[in-house]
Amino acid sequence: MGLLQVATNTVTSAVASVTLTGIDSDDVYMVAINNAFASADDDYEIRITKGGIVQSDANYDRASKDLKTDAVFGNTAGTNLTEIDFSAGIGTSGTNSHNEIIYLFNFANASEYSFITMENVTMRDDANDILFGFQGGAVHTVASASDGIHFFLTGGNNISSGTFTLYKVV
Amino acid sequence: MSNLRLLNETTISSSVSSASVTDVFSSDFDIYKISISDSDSSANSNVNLRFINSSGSIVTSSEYDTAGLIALSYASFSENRTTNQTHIDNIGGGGRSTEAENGANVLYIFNPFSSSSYTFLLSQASVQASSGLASTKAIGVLTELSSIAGFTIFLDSGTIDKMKFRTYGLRVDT
Repeated sequence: MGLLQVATNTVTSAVASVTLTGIDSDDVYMVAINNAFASADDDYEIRITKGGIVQSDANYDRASKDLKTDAVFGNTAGTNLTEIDFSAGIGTSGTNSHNEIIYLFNFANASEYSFITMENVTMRDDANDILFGFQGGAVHTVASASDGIHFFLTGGNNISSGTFTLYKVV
Repeated sequence: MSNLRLLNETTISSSVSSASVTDVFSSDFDIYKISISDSDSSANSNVNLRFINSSGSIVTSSEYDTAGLIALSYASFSENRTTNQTHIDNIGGGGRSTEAENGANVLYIFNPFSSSSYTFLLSQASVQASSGLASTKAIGVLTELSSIAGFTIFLDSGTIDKMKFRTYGLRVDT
């Protein structure tokens, strides 16, 4: 497997969102997120882009298992959502970073839905700093070409730091 | 040129109690991908991981946490949750005394070389257990602020007789 970098954004000062675009072929794409933090404790969300426009329609489905050390693993799922929640309790600094590998399928194919698999790991920023991560998938159920992925925070806080990189799998 | 750079290939071909890959993490990369394949073991056992710091010492402090989902083809799924242990517990994959039953792992390691962040791990693996398939998805962390340069694999019991590691760095071009 090889990876060709398509886009990257290293956040060093607070921004409301990060968008990575440039998906233009039927190849599988991968996103790596490294050492990401928020300006206040919050959850990351995903939307996709079509023609560079962020899609906020209620056409997202998701299902995932949440792995954690403090309780029985849970299931997180929903249909016809306006966004994909893919984290829980991103921290603001220090040791509570968010790290993730995402695969994107069929994004450029106008006849297919846009599919996502994701796996992530963090120390959830709460009183006990619990090891936490989602393992799951999501889909945007609109059969038209997508060209990118958009990250933001549920509570409207800023992404304060982190490196977000989009690769083409070759 | 691929942004996935092969940094090291290590092959174990004789019986050892643990198998290490040293001096492979550096400031050149923040994310690493490791594949573990071509395995064989002397006993049926869980596969565990410890990190090796930049001084070459295996980190054995009780600062490893693990959360793993073991999906079984022959029984209910099980969960593995450990905190403050001396290793990442049961990353899945090899650890079978019948060579053909040993599966494979793909690991991602985040920020190992940085001494200002924890070292995080993602693991996906499959192995053929006595009654059927066991597929593991696990996360782990070393909650110690130290610079990590390598890793070592060992079993709960028995020896590693064969194992191949390929370690890649994910390059980010700025």
